[in-house]
Amino acid sequence: MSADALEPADDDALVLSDLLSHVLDKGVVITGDVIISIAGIDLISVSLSVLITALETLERRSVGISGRLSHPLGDLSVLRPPHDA
Amino acid sequence: MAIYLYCVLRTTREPPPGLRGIDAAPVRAVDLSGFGAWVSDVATTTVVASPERAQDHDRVVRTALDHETPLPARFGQVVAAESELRAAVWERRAAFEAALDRIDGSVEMTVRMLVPGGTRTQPGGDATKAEGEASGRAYLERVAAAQREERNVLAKAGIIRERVSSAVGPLVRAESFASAGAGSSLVTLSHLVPREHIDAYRRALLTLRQEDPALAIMVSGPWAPYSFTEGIGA
Repeated sequence: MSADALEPADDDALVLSDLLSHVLDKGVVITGDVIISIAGIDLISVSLSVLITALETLERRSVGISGRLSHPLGDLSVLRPPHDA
Repeated sequence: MAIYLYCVLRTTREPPPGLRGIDAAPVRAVDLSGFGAWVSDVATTTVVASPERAQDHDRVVRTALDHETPLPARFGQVVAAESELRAAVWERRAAFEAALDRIDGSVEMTVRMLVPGGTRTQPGGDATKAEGEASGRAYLERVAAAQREERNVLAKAGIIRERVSSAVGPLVRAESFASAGAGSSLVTLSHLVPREHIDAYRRALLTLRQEDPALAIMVSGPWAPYSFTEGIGA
């Protein structure tokens, strides 16, 4: 998410992280264990770290430019659902 | 050949022609005697997660969401045969009925927030672990400090949660609260929102954000109600 971007929907990594945290961690379970890591990297943990970093960026930006935004969404960041391929 | 489950539906609606799922396999509907399910064939009963496959999964669920509110399956739900899927759903039919009633006509909206003072890295990690701990006393002091910090973060999380919940309360049917881990700064609030209230829900959060510009929140959705499938477990 760049410093002047108001919608992190422009950030593919952020959108993907949000998706991973939903799809891999939530939903109906009817069978046993699910393998959610690639080469030992836990995809859920990585996705949550990306979300934290994005929120920290948003937090810093809000403190710095509070009250100067003119975007229709103000400084509320709305992640749009990913577009179909 | 095994069967991969994407979602369970109230109806036996067929997916749109050409819809592809995991590894580009065609998606089809299965009649589960009172429910429907969207599935596709996969080569084995173990499907390893990847970002691409997670996107495949959600694309199918999202397509169902365009028509009705499905109960989304967690990634990786694979059975050996349709008969096994029928048996699994039949065993839990009361829970499926209740869950489908609960989510009918609604979507999930997700709010992410940071709690001041929480752990900013390694969500889910254990803050009490430390390599090379010099003594038992040092370890116990470290554990006590971590517990104090966790209580502090939880208290702050509760305050933030209350503010958001109050702002959108009249617009939501249910709320689910989750923290990324002990003492983590990341708090997630998931809301079950009737479709007709989605715009008002966004406006309510925008108002909250404008009232407190320092409040760092992100909103995403609409999603299928991944966070509202409680009561249906393996």
